Amino acid sequence: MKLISFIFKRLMNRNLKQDPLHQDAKLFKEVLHSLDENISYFKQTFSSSDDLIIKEIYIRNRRGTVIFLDTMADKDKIQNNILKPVMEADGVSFENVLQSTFQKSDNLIKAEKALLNGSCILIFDGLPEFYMLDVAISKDRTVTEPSNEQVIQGSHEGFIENLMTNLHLIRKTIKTTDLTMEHFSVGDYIESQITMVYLNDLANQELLTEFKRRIHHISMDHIPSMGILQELIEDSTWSPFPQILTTERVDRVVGHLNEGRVAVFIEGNPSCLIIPVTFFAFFHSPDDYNSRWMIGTFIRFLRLMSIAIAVNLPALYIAIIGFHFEVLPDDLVLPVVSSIRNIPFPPLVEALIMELTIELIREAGVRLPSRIGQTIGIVGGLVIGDAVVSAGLISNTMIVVVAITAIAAYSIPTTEMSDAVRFLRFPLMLLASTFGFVGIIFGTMLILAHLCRLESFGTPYFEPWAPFRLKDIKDTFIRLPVSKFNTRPLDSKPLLMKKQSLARGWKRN
Amino acid sequence: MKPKTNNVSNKQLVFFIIQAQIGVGILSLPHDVALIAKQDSWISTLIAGVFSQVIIFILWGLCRRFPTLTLYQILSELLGKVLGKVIIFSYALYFMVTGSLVLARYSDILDKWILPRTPNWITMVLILIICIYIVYEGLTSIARFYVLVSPILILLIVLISYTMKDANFLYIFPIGENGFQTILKGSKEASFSMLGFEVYLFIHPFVQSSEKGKLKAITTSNIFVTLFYTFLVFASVVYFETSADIALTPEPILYMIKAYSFQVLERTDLFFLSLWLMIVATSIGNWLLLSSMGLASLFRKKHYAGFLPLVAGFYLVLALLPDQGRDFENFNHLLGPTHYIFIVIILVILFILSLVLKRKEVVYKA
Repeated sequence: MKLISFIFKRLMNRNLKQDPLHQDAKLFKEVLHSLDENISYFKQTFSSSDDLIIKEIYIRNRRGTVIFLDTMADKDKIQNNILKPVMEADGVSFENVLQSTFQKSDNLIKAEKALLNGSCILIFDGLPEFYMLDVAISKDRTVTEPSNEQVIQGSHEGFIENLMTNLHLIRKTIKTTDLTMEHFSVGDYIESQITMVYLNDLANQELLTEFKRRIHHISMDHIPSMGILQELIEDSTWSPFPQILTTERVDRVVGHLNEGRVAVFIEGNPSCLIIPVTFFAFFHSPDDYNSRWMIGTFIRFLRLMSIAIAVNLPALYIAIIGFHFEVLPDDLVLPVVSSIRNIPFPPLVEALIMELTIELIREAGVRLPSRIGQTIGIVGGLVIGDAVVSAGLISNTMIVVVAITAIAAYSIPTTEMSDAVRFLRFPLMLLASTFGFVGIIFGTMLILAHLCRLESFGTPYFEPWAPFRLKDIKDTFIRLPVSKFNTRPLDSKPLLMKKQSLARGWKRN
Repeated sequence: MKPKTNNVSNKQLVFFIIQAQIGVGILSLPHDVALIAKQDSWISTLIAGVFSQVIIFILWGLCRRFPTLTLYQILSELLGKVLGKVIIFSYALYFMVTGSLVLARYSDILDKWILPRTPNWITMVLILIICIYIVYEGLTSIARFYVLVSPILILLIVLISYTMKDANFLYIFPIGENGFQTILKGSKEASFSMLGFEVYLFIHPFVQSSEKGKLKAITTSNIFVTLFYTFLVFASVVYFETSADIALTPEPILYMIKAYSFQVLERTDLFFLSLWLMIVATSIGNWLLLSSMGLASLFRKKHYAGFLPLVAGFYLVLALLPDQGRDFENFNHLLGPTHYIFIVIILVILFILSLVLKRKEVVYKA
């Protein structure tokens, strides 16, 4: 135990010291005196890249230059919004002409960043400052419903790859002055923009500082995607369970923000991270709130059952066939025995073959275009499923078990949790094949103990079950009527617990 | 990362102590008590509960005088460094021996009922690994886990209640036939199963509650455990004819449940045993916690987690030593008086000492 942890430590903490990759990165460089010097500076920093366009212009006999990146800036916008008004302006001050989006600065480093974001730089000879004007090309997807989180009823808006559009979607829905957004940039070499969104009067201050601390300590050349950011800031990477919720649904994010949680967006990613979350947040779907509460509760209960089934059913089958045949009632023994009598494999091998086949079919189906994907479904599902039984390799009961397991695992609304659950059944199958019921119980205990140990940004992961909190059960694996949601759940430690007083006040009057 | 706080809430304390008290004993307790007290064994169990309540008062009184110290720290505070260390070591040893006895009995029952062909050391190693994992992180996560698995007790009660449909309630008569002396002897046997509340001595500084609240919590759990045990004993007394059957059934509860089958579940006892495993794991976890805490304070280490693998190895060796079955009895007899020494006598002496010496921890309130 100690030896293993020692080796791990040696392997993992090779350099504990944190040093940014580009230490020479400067934050400030003043505008140079002459225009030509400035032009050559830009040429040099962009290594004379061919898409760097530098055009000289004369305005009121003053020499100036327009610099932009051909690949990032919209030429029509430059023509219509900058050059035309500037040229046509007569006697009016320059700044009055360029009305909306310009910034003044004397920092060339800032100019570089602005250029990379699609701005256009205007520099005039002899002026100590320059203008940056946003003329970025926008080639965005339209706001559509995310295909991996579809609902039957409710809003069909989803996030897209543009950060500003995503923030707009949030701001549009939560029209309160308390909605706060904070921008950060992470990545030492290629910077990506991250935005943290929260409700100022609800979100816990400790959570905010802890998040900022973790973001601040990231040292990585480039953060390309959500998954990597998630792995960099989550509490425990040695866990199959996701500890941060990713979603592409606007209504989901809004709901979580209203419970005092923090949403994190990253430029170029259509999903949003929500912290802190508990285990049960992964089993919720906005549909639960749009259907009647009894049905919502029923569906949630089914989902909870589905974890138990997806994790334990194959293991249970193996344990019963291999160890405890006597558990089966008399009437059931005969059909089971007749189906497994001529199978050449032990139950573990049988189960492993089928479970792995299912995983393979899934993996093959994901990558293929949808038309071929259907073919895979037919070949995998019908042909293998049927042929494997008639060839006498796998028993009928095993097929039933595998099918139920697969359906149960895929009924979990979030992909990460579904993956975790599907992964966990393999160790349990191994345990069941060596120790029978005892192995299953031990495996389950290990999983439960792990869930009790996990924390997500200071929030116990398995709340409200461990630590147990009766009041918060109302919106976990059951959903009580909305009028009972008088307090916010405690797990995110919101500053304001009270959510509503008399939601159905008309009944009292 | 911020250091994790080691706090336990008052409600969690209740379950902590319940899980510590209820352990392997639940299967064999009715047999052990009924061998002595016959049909009055349920009275013995009740009386044992009263005994343990008295001890609980003493240890609560002791802890109240030292609100931020565990027993190990109290020992060195009251008895001085050398003597304190000796007693700390013997406490750690005592917990190790008790724990490994629990481990041995667990593997014995597992061997008899579920996995006859699996070598015992494998099942022991398995449960030790799991217990280490449960205990490793600190009191907070232990308490969470204990609360999480507590509903199992209700399930056990339901299962046993189901068998009551075939019970013959006349078996408890004549009440008090064997005399008060025998009943008391029986309660001595029963009180061994009640042990475990001494965990309070070691976790009380971490409980976030007033002293009165803590007392209420331990009393609640003791009452629950007493009633639970009494129910078990009563159930097996009215189910089996005490004079003849109980002596033949070393695990009466299992034999009781084995007789029933449901529509989809034939061997109910296997189901029961699987749930029982969780309860055993929590109690072994407790002993692991206590003994490694002892070693940690002996070597002046701040965190006990480093000692867990060592202690677990010790448990394994100790549990494998006795020849299953035959040596258990001797082992148990040997352990009998030590229970009194460590749980009653030393604590009473400490309590009196702290009163006489007027030694009391001064708590600075900010």
